[in-house]
Order: sequence, then structure tokens, then C-alpha cells
Amino acid sequence: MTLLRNTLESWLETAQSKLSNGGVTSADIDALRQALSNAQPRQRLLYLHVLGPSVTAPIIGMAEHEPIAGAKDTIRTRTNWPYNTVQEAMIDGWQVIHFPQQMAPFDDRELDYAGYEFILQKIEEVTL
Amino acid sequence: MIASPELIDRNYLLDDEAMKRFVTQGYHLIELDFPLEFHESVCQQIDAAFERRGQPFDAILDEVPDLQKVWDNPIVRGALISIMGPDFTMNSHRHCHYTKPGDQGGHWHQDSVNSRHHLIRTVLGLYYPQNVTDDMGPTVILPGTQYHNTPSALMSSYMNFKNQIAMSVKAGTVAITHYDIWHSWGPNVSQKNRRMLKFLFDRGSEPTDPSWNAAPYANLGVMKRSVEIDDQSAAYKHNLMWANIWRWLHGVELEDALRHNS
Repeated sequence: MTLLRNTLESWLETAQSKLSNGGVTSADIDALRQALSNAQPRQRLLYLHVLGPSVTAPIIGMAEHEPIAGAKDTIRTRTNWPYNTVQEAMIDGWQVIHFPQQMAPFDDRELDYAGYEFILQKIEEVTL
Repeated sequence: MIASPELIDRNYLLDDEAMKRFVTQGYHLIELDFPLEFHESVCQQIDAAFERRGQPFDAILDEVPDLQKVWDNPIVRGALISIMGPDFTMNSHRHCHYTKPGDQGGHWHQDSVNSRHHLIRTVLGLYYPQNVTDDMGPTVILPGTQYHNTPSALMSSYMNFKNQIAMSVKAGTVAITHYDIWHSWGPNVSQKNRRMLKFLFDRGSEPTDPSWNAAPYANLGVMKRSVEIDDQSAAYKHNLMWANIWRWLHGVELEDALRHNS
């Protein structure tokens, strides 16, 4: 998945370098127009499993779901944990769309889960 | 597989610290001292069995009798006796998990149905006859979840945890885990086959004395937040549970709170 803003940044960087070398061409403009016309808003989802129901509680686990056919997060040893808390993800532009229930619908002597689940989204323009 | 007292070499039994780790974390790792050729031969026998008849299911031990040597190894037996008592038995169910390049990996689950027991009545013995690297989709476990009772379908939104343990291990590693520990496996993005032999072992009787190299009985003591996924409430609950399991393993009377869940 390529985000539209990454495509635009790349285009601008190329255009900047061409300014001293004959300038942008009509083909460059066509490529930019194509990228813009093909862009679509898509919903990215981020599941964060957190030690408590507060947005400042430490994150213990996560799953990323990208809006691309066939994309699937996998079990692996992650070397990068982008956020320590839900709040850090919010600062990075993620919006919380599901808050964990504090009134658990089960007797915790019988069923147990790991952490409290927040679901966050980012609507991003992606180039196809 | 009942070990008479004279056949138990106490040098191979676990000590208190190893037992406490098992009670709280739910797993114990062993590296067998067999020559590498043994494990390579096991891999070849497994491959031949799959080639000949497909997945052997419970017949994997008949197909690869050398596997019995793994479970007869004194270090492995010492750990099993320590955790399960001297009269533990090998369950008739066993399975060879064979993942080839391109396998997509699994999801978090607990084996069997959601009728769990907190006391240690069944363990899994996982044997890896080849080196397992991260790209081969190792087994992953989540320490401390062996006392959770969680419908596996409701674990489907979980993916990676900060404190999950990947069994990226040397050939000849045996992991003994509590039967109910959460586990999964990753995608195999390597060019190698990964074989994992899962065997089950059942406790034969209620403990009357410690079956490991135990110091004189003492309460387990408070072990605050030993499991990283525990919030404050879960930590209190687990401390009580661990203390009771510790008493039970010593043959000491349980507190009522646990007796109802046993």
C-alpha cells in the first residue's frame, strides 16, 4: 500500500531536483495527475491491547490491518513497537473507534483475556 | 511410564526455582545432549512417513519409534517427574506439526475445549528435531496464560505481544508447557520445513509430597506482577492461584478458593 502523501512527497522531491535540470516535463505532470485520480480513501485499523482501560496505560500487544486485498498481519517477533500507549497513537493521528468495556460481561473467575482492546482507525488516501 | 523410586535419579529433578518458574510462567525448556545425527535421523524418518502415508496423526510414534528416546531421556524424565509426579503417563494423542515454506501461520488458541483446570494435570511436550529460526514460523507461547480460560475464537483479534516467547531454538530442544498455555505459530517464509512433535503427558495421582528437589516447604510468597500481561487485579488473583498450586504440589491442603476450581 502506498499512501498518497508519500507519492506526493516523492514527486515533489523529483521535481525539485529537476528544477536545475530543465524543469518538470508534461510526463511528470501526467504522472501526478494519474496518482491523484487513482487515489482512494481507505480505512486502516490498529488493534492495541493495553494493560488497562486508560489511554495512558502501557500497550502489551498489537495487530495491524491494512486495507489491501490479501494483506494480513502475522505472528512474529516484532522489532518495532511504534507506540507505548494509546495516547501516543492518537498523537500520531490514529482515532479511537472502540473503547474497552469496564463492565466486563463475564465473571473473571471463569473467563480471562489479555489486556483491554482499543481499536483505532486512520483514513488515508492511498494510490492504487 | 511409572517410575519406581529407585529408578528416579534425583540429579535430574528440577529445583524450587525451576518449579516456581513453571507454576508462574507455564513452560520449561530443555536442550537434549543427543548428537545432531539423532535429530537429523528423526527428521528423515518423519519425512519418509509423511511421504509414505501423509499425516500419521497419533501413529507418529509407531512411524518414528526413536521419538521414545526423547521422552526416555533422563533430563526430560526428570523434568516431567518434577512437574507431573512419578506416575505420569504418556497420553495416546500426539501430533507432528509439519509446516512447509509458504505456510501462513496460525492464530492464538488453547487446545481442546474451554473446560480448564488450574492445577497441573496435563502438560505438552514439544520436541524440535531441527534448528528453528524466526523465518520458519516458530511456535510462540504467551507466558502466564495457562490459567486463563479463553474461548479461542475470541482470541482472533490478538496478534503479537511484547512478551510472547518464540521457540526459535536449536535442534534437540524440548519445551514442556502447561496444557492450557496460549500458543500459536508464525508463517514459514523460509525455504525449510519445520517439524514439531507434540506429545501429551497426564498426571497419575494427586501429589502427596514434592516430586522435585524441594527445599523444606515454605509459602510461595508474594510475587508481584510476575506476568507482564497481568493488570493489578489479575496479579492479585494469580498470586493466590500460584500459592495454592504451590501448596497442592507439596501435598498441602488447598485453600477453598482454589478447591472449587480444581
